[in-house]
Amino acid sequence: QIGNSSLPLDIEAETFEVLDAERHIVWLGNVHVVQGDSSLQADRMDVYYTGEGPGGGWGDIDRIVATDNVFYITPAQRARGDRGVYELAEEVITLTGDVVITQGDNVITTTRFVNNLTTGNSNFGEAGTGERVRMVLQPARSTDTTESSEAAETPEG
Amino acid sequence: CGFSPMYGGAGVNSALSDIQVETGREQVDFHLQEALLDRMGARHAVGPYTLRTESETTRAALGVGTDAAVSRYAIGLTVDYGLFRDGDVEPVVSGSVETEASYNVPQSVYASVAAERDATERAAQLAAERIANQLVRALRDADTQ
Amino acid sequence: QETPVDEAPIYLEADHVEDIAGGSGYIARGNVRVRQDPRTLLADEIEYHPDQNRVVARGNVIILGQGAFPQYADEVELDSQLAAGVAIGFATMLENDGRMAAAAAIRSDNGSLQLNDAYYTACPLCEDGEGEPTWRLRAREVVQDADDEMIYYRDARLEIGGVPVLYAPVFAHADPSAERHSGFLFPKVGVSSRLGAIYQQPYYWTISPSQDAVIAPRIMGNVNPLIYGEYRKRFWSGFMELEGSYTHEFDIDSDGEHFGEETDRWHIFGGGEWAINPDWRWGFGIQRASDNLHLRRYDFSEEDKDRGAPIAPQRRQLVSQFYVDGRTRNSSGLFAVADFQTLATNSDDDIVPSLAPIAHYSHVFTAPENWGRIETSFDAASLRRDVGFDYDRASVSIDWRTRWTMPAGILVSPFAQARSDAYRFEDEQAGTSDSVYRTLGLAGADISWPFFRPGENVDMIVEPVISYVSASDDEDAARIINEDSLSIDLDESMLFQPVRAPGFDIWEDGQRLSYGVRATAFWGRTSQARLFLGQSERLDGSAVYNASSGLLAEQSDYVVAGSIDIAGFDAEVSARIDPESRDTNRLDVSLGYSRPGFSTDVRYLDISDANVTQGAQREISADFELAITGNWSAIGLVQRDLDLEITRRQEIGIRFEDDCSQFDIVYQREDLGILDLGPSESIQFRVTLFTLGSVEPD
Repeated sequence: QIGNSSLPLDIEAETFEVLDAERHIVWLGNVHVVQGDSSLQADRMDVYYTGEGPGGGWGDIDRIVATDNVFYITPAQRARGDRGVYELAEEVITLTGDVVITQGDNVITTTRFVNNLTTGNSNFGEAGTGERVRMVLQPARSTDTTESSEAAETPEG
Repeated sequence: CGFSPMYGGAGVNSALSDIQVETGREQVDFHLQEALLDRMGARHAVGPYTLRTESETTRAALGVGTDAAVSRYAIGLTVDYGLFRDGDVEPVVSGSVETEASYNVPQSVYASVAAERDATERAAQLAAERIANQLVRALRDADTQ
Repeated sequence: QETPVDEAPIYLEADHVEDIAGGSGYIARGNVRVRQDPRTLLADEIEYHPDQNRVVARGNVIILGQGAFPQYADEVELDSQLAAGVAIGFATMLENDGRMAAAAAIRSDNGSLQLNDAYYTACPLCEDGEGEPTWRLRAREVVQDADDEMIYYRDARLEIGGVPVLYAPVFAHADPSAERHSGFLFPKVGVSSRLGAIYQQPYYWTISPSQDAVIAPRIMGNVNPLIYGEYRKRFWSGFMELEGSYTHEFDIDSDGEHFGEETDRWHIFGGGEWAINPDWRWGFGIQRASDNLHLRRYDFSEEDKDRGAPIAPQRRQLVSQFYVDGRTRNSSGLFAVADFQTLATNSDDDIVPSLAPIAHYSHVFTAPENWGRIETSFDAASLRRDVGFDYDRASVSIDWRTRWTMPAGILVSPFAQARSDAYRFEDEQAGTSDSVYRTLGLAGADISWPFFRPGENVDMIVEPVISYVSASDDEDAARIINEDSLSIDLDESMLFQPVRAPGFDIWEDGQRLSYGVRATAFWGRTSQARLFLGQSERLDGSAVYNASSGLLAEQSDYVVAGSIDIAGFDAEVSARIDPESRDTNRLDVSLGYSRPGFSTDVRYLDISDANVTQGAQREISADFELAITGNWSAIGLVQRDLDLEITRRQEIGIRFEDDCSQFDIVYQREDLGILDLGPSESIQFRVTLFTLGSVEPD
């Protein structure tokens, strides 16, 4: 569930490989995970399920690890990174590596981006790593501030 | 007793007469330039050295009497000079000379204008003489090093 | 085209950032830097709420780009353009070392700043906050208004060394960061036995970027008010400055008693100069007063500022002139017309000539190698008098000189001069006129043999000089009225000159021999000592100079000149000694001594020039500045006429000076014996608080 948890989660890819013992499916080639109006894309995704031991069922998806050209797109922002981990239980997506996020006209670059799906809050950068979070913010046009801020802008492309 | 003719050696004289002279834009600077060129015999200088001067004139009133009348004016001339090798920013030799020429204030207005102009020219003559002496000393010291 | 301020993007940089509600706001922590051209905000933590147009910064907040200097605060809340906002624990530097700090500060959109419980000072503050600055202006509220570039105070207290000295409900001064700005300058306050209590309030008015003016009405206890003004204008190729005063009042004596008639009383000073081309310029000077004592009566200086005009007035004399002068590489020229107003009581303007005009042009031609130079020059003077005779002279002259270095270092400088003068004297009232035409010439040579002795630490130059001149006779000498060579005082600079007279009207005919020796010693880089002894002897020809010139007798006075210049101490002597009686005809001694904490100059003069009857013949003047402790020093000067045993001028005062202020308390007494103005005593105090201005008498 990467958007609204009640919606179904569709995964497509060019190929996939099932590793039954580890309850682990590897999706390769332009992998797309779509849920409602949010989607996660990457060249490779390793999806791990909660199931345990021989003979048990697969259970639910525990976490998805996306690597190479990871894109995380929601109505409010588009984020891109080298590696992404989506913990379904905590409903938190973490992108690391060379991360670039666009929120409306604002562009943010950092080395670590944590987005909490239930609260919608995101966290950029990690204190003490010496890495800096850099942001370019377009001040809200004086005309915009009059409209209510809920009118989320539709993400381009 | 260690004295030798200052212009005895050919070197000093030819060096001195090969220095070009550039002074400021006031009338006193023109007199200073002519006096220096006369004193240094540097009318045909083409050498790599240029003497540049900056002058400042002051006027001191002396002998203040009744009715605040002044009986004498001392025209002070301070000339800062530097000997520059063409293209250099820092001078090879530099120094400053302070001279003074006075005149007793005559009764007539025009006579004091003439006396003041003459005193300024005399101060420039003295300055030229002293600068030339200091240059020759520097050239001689340079030779003996 | 620069993007308008509110569209300019904001750059934010931090160690860690959290966003609020999906990008509608951010909280950044860890040496956060927010920049929106032209301002930058640094802080430990910054909250950015674009929708509410609010930026809150906390912890070591520094605002840059809001003025020439950074501003500091503990906490600041600004609009998203980082312009308007509120700061807590605010402090800022201003230009010229001004400092302002406040408990709270509110900045409005146009950059104006309002501070509560604030203070302003230009004194350095100790890092640890201990101790009081020399002066501080404390106020309940301070507004730094950016539009009219002023700083306004409410309930202002001036504290000197922490002690409140002055209280003012409202107070204002120009913002030191503003370059030129109209506004009231510090008033001039004083008291004098003649004028009574004086209050002058100058107003500085910037008319345009190239011109400004000061208008200063002055009200006085004993006399009607007076208006004083200054005007300055800068042109593309020059400048012009005028100043003047006007009042309508009776004459007053030194105790302020009115007499005479009530009439307009004014003065005007000023001048201007414009470049014609890089070498030549023209200009004018104007100095006029309604009556001889107006300037002294209202404590104006009788000497105008020197603005570069060629004709400098004598003491108690005003000159108005128009001139063109200049110089090129090989020529120099001057043309001037001038009219004089004498303020001295014993001379009237009718007999004082105006120069209509005087002119001079000389051009120097370089002769072939070794043949020196030829200077051709033209000189003319026309004097016009209301009463007395008019004088016209025109002269053309050629002057050749060169310098040869003989074997064994002997310098021979031959010279020759030829000149022709045309004179015209006319006395209209008396109906007499005379014109004289003469041609004169001289030739001669200077011979000197300088010797040099280099030493490890003392270099010596000894230069014996001898000069021979032979000049043509001057039959018409008796018909020439001497206007330009009235006072000659033989000294070192004149002894070897081919023409020793300052002007054209006197010509030394016959042969003469002058000889002397010049010794100079140098040591170290700047120390030197010099001595000159010389004399002139007239072989034949007439005694053209008067008794007090030192050149009347065939054997002239001995000329003695010397100077010594060692670190901190310098002395100069110039004297004429009578060859027979050995008494000193003229002695001019000046001594100077300075070392850290103490400096003094003393000058002693003794002239025996009989026909100089104006000033004092014997005078001593001295000034000194002595540092007492730290910032306190004593200053003083005295000028005493030893003949009449009168001290013409004396001042003694105390000065306190540190990095941001200077206080002078000076007692001044002048006794210049000017008609009925008598000696005047005054106590003047001058207070200068740097960047605020100064309070001092004219």
